[in-house]
Amino acid sequence: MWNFDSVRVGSSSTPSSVHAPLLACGAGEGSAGGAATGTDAALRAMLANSLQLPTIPHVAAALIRVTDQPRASASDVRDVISTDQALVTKLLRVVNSPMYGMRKRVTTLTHAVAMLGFEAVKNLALAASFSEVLGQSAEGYGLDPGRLWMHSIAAGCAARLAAERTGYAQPEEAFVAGVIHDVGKLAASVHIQSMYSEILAKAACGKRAFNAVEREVMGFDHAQAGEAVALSWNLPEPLSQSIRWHHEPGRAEHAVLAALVHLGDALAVALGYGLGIDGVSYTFHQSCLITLGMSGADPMRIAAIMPDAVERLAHITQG
Amino acid sequence: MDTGARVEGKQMPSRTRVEHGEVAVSNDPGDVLEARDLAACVAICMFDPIANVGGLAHVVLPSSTIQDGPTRPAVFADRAVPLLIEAMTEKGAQPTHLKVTMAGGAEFIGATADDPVGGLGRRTVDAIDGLLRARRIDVTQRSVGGLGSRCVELRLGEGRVVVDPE
Repeated sequence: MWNFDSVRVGSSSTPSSVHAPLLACGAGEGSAGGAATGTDAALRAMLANSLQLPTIPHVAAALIRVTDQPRASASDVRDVISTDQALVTKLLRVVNSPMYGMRKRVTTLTHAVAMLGFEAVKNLALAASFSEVLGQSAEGYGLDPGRLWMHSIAAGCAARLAAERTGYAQPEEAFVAGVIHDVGKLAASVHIQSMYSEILAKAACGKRAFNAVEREVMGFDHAQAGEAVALSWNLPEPLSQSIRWHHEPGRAEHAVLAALVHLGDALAVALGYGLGIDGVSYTFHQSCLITLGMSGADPMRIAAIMPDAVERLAHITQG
Repeated sequence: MDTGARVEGKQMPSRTRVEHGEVAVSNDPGDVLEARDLAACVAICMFDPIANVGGLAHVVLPSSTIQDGPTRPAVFADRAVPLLIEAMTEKGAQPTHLKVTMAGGAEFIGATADDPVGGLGRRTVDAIDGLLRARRIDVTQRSVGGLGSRCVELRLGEGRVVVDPE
């Protein structure tokens, strides 16, 4: 795993592993720009009472704050990332991995921005900073420390491979969206424990996907919980949308990104990366392949190269 | 393969985790070969009780016909089966003596075999069945399909395969 202490910016007395209470969830408001959010006041109240929102990693918060400014520049992003040399080192390891096929070794952040572009480096840094929270356990979902992170990087890796295959303009956006898609499990982990046996019994029937059982028993699922986290963290709308709709990509306004995340998640589940109590209780929406212009063989082509890609990334993102 | 450590006079088994697309073979009775969190992937375990040779392949996909780039050697069933048999034979196993266990191949909710992702497990199981049948090798133990992800270990000293959950 990453060294969590090493990816913090500035000095803070609040460790990122401490869960903040949900003060103003706002789930479903203003997040979808017209797309269905599937939430209402009652649901917002339920989420507010049920979730424990993880604290946003400091680097991620700073990156989002800076890039929200209309005149944000590459040097602003570079300045934020540069405040944490450990993060810079890990980011450069990823950039120099075979995933990018660089002819020459990239040794500085400036060089990385020049080679990959400002958006790509920002998204890679965001994904790296999320390892801080996603490395934690989500006991309610049967995820020991490190397990959710393994699932996250596998889904991110597969989403990125799919993005490359389809010519999606921002493969790193697909990567970070895949990495963060299950953050709601951290927020709902404590709440689900009180309903554990009922959820397990209903999921074991094998007739409905785990997230459908979550909605029936808890009143919401981890995707809705994830949207609440995304909004509280002020994540960009495409990311909050892809988190919210990663099990129902056809309902997302940013349908292509949601489809990439859905496919990445499904492949990570099929290959058994970081499974929890939900196991393979999953519904794959084949319509996402139409959205992506993919054939039925394309997911298998991605699955074929995932083991090497995921192992390299897991290795690179360790300590 | 590493020699197991000795604790209180007993030989501790040496565990080898066989990851996606990998094959491992051993004739050391102190070895345990394992594959974890199989989900839709399929583990093929082979054991020759006469030569005391065991092997495990962690298979991801049914057929290499879709391949368009380099992969690990046993990602595809049609590569993994001959590779495992060849590695077993090199260690002294006889194909006619093999006890074969197949485990994994879980399927998504309501997935049909032609579901590109949800039906992967079933297609891989079917492909392995066909490849073994063509070589007149019977599967003696199987725990495949369904919604559960399985872990499997081949304990060479006992000549036994443990699948969890069965």
